Amino acid sequence: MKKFQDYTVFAFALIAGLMLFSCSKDRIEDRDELNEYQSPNAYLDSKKQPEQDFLIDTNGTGPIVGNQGTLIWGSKNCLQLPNGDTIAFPFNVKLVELYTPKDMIYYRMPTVSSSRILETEGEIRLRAFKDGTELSLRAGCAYKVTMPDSAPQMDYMRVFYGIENGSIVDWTDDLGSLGVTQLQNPFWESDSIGYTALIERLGWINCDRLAGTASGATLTFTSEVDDLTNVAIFAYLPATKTVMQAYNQSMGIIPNGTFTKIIAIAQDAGGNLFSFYNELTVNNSQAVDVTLSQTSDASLTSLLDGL
Amino acid sequence: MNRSFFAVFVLMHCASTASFAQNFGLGASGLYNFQTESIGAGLRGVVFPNKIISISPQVSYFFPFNKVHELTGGLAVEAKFARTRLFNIYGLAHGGYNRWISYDASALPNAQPDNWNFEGGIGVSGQKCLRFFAEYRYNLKFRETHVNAGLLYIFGCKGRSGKFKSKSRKADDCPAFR
Repeated sequence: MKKFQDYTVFAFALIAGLMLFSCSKDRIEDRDELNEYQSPNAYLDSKKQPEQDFLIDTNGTGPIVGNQGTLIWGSKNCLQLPNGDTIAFPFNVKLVELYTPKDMIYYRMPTVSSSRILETEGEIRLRAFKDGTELSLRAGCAYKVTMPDSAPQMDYMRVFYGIENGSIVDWTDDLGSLGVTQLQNPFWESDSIGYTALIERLGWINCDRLAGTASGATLTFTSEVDDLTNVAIFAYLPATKTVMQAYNQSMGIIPNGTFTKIIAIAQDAGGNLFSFYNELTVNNSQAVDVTLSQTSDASLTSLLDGL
Repeated sequence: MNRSFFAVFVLMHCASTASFAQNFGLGASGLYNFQTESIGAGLRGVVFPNKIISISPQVSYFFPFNKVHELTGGLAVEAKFARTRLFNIYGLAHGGYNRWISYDASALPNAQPDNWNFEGGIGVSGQKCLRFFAEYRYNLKFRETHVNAGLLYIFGCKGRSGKFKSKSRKADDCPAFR
């Protein structure tokens, strides 16, 4: 009987031990409510470079000068209506200038060509309109464009053209793929003002070159506290002045070994601004944990200015 | 379905024969998992139920209305370390395959439908032919405890009084151990 009592004591001690042992309710714990955000596009739009509108009503020597120093020379005779008809004065030339990573981020204009990063010196959007109808360049005609740069050094920058697909713009230097026969030098020439090239298609134009390779790393963005669905996430690669944007919380391809700055921007339902900033050297595909914190317009502007 | 009925019939038939007498039992139970707050039901067989070491194939099912909906099948080894004329106390170890049907509703990181579980626990069971049993078990994988209580019928026993059916022996108490 004594032995039985010992066993019983042992048994109950074991039970008590099990009770005291760390038990877990993890399987039924509710998912933590994630902080939800609205798209920051309204905020970004309020900060982006305006599209400048030039009314051209007579012949002149040019150039058209943009707010940030972009120079444009062109002829009315090079412009045509969608049906190929010529136009008469007046007509409008519209220009957007994006020369800093901040402005490219505000405009959500990454410098990536089919997942390959581009080393860039600037982007512009050059369009022409006649009574609200968008015009195009006649075959064989070109507009001369100079992008300002105080110290242009590279002579290998090529003219890339933007391919608009919804809100996403891809870049290509293959004019043939856009239905335009390449007649002009596809490179930007550097001079004392900056980079100059002859543009054979209106729209988005980029001064850059392919900097990435077809292989490298992909970043995915996750968060245990924030719902990233509406969060705008960008990366800036200082070495090549490349701006990248994440789509569906994924971004690539980044060459291994690239120093990268990550910026995420969001707004809550009350219009409050949130941001996340991180620096890392990308050595392989990885997940980046994002935790947004409230910020101010001034702080975020300063952050983007410092990229 | 017909195969299942046939298998159960054969099992019941064999269990009732002399070769299985006192060496096999079948039972059913109810389960409650304290951590997942889930209710389930279980079925088990017990081989050598009256020996010190018993082997028990078991299945358990936690119903869909629970927070955790799952099915587990495995094998337990029971070791009786204390016994009286009325009951046994035993320790048990159980390993089995777990199908966590509602895994995608869980916030648990790396939740997956297919799991291998290992449990340890302690139990008490009666000595009669139709005997109660109750177990308290700890799941090492999910770090959860549950109770499992039910009834087990030992084939070859004689009714409620727990007498033997043996022809060679007089009626006697159904002993758990000899």
